[in-house]
Amino acid sequence: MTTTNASSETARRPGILVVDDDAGIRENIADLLSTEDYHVVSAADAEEAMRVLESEKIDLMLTDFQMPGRNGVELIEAARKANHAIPAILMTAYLYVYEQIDDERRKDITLLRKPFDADEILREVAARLSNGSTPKN
Amino acid sequence: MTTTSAKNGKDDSPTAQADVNRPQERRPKFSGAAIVIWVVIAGLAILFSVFAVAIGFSAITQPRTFSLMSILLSIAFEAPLAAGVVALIWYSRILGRATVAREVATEALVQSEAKYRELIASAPDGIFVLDEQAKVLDVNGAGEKLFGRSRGDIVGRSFMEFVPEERLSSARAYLADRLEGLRAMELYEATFTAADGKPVHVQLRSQVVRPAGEGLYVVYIVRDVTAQREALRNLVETERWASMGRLASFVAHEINTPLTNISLLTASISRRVTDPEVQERLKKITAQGRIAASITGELLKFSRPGAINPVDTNLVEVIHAAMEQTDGFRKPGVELRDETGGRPVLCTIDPMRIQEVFVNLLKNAYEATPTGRVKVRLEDLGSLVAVSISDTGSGIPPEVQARLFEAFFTTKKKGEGTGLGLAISRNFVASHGGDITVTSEPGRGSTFTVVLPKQAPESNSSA
Repeated sequence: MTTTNASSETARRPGILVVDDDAGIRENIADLLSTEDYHVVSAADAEEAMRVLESEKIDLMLTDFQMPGRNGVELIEAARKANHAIPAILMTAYLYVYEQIDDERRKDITLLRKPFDADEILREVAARLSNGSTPKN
Repeated sequence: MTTTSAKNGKDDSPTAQADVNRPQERRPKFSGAAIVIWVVIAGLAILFSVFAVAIGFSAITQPRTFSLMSILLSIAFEAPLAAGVVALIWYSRILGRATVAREVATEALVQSEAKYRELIASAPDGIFVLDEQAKVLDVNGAGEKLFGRSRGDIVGRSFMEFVPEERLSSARAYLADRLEGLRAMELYEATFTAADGKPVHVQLRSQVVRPAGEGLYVVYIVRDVTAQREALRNLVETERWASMGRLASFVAHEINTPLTNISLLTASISRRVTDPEVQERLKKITAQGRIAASITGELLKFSRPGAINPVDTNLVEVIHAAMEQTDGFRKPGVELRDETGGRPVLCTIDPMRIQEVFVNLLKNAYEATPTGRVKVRLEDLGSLVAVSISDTGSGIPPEVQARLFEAFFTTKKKGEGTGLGLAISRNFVASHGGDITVTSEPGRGSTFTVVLPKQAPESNSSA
């Protein structure tokens, strides 16, 4: 678990959890988001992500879809079950796999297709933080 | 079982049933030899009788002169005659039986020959009998069908007349080798030209036959493998595209992650530096990243055309949206003529994908047309609808036309196209159960015609 901008007195900055098995993506998203006024925590898989959710105040989760162990959709479902009803953004390059999942399970998830650029991710993060659990798409 | 066998004097019942439809069997005719024998028998019998009467008469009228010597002389005279008659009757019976046996044998031979002729005639493979000079002596029904010609059009001609020019030397060499006893086990692959000019691909085996006392002949047994070859070719082609699709999909997905990283890092740097020169170069990196992303996007569309999502759509609106989207590609001297008609044409199609097809075709038309006209025409054909996009541009040479819809085939300069636009368009149209065709005249322009069923087939999940 890595915590960027760990200074606790800025607790009112929105907390974002970034989950991806690719270290590059994790670091670069954290790096980019920390240039904005976000508190970013990252995790390499669903298990680590669940531990972060238990220990930190997280306002939004940004997760990869295909990871070793539980996938992104399963992680979001597990988080919601554990009373972490936070907005979620799912990142994937495998759109066709994601589209095979039931509509019902995809309902409150914002999809961010890889490859995406910085503007897109910043826009989606800001949008989900401001309008809570209603995804754009 | 019929009763005819009783009449023909034969009681060989096993074949009797097979004979019902054949001309009635004849009794064996009297041969010349039999007639001569019977004439001799009759002559001897008459002679015997005449002498017997004469001896009897003489014995009654002149009993005194009829001595023991006379009796012995009479017996000596009559006995050989009687023996001759008996022997000849015996011989004639033997001769008669032999004639019957020969007749039966001949009949059996005729039947057997008919049976073998029938077997050859009904053989599923073409059978050609050739002489040493490759002249066709005989052909069966399958052979006629193979060449699409009648027997009269094949027999008497040289077999080589049906071999295409480029295969002639190979076909001649094969026959020559066979006549020398070589290549006996070879399954020779050959191509012939049917009467309609179409090539017929065959596998051929042959047998050289050398009957005693006659000239030799060669039997060609020819199997049509055109359909199998076509099926195999299609299978190989399908497999080739499928593996290319898997490769494209793998490459696209794997490149997406580093592309995302490049884009994120670029943005991160851009937020940390103020130097306008650095900013300018970062913008260039971002632009290049977008190009790379659009290429991986194309690759994914090609490799996974996916399920279509048909909804009730006014096709005319889709065409108009594609026209608007591509208007920036239209050069100043080029007129766009809209012949889609005013009325809506309702179809159940995937509007996103079909719009992309028209966008592709319009972009290509504009690129090929520096001045002149691009025309979009819609024809309502009932259950089908045809949309043609014609330009007055440079046209497409035939060799390019042949490969136009092939993936990664492009005539554009490096960096201007992936060569996937038309391949993707064709996939999209095909998944709607439609087709794209092209006609073109170099120097005068091209017309691409999209024919779509108004009701797209039920989507069969992502392919």
